[in-house]
Amino acid sequence: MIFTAAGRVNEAEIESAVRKVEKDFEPEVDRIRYSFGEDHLDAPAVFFRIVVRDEARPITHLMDLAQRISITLMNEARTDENDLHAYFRYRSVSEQQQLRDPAWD
Amino acid sequence: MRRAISTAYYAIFHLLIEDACCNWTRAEQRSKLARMFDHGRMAEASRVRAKEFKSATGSAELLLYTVADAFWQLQEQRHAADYDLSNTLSTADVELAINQATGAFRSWNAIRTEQIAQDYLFALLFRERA
Repeated sequence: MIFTAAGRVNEAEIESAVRKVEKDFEPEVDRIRYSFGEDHLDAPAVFFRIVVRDEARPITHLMDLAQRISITLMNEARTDENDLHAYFRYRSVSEQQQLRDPAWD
Repeated sequence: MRRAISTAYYAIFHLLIEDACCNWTRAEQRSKLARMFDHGRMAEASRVRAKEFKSATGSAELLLYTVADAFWQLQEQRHAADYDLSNTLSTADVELAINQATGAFRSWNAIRTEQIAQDYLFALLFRERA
């Protein structure tokens, strides 16, 4: 269970929000993974890991896409309302195939 | 790659501190003032601004969102890059960090003299009373 200054975080609500965003961005996003923890300031945090399709990887496109997904995830998962610090990282399907980080699978 | 992320963060860190210190009229005291800025305090002030302006419609507010969001996101990434060696990095991480810092510089240059930007600089050093 995750507790913040705003109270207990509803993990099911966040899971549902993430799956919704994953579906809404399906043409460009392959999958979204996330985990809860604390950031380096010891604040409750959620770390989103977004794997984008290779076609969405060129940096000019990815910059715009990353901003849209990050804001949508914060709004849908209500991270600010839950006082949960939200962090975002992105990589492409090809990059993950090379790096083989289980946290991103 | 770790160094690039760290540098992207510190570029914004120094940009903001330099501008904040320029408001101090006694030039000989500015280097001492610069050392009083705290990463945690700056992150918190940036997070508050990013939260406040993420759905803003005004152009200055949106530009400040770009700066504040880049600051606190890159601070966390910089910490992970420098201290968590189990954390795998991709080229996308680095390209995004550099582009985020570049965007923050561009946005800051457009609003640096506006009241909203000056209030942000103040909040980077001084905690506002509730």
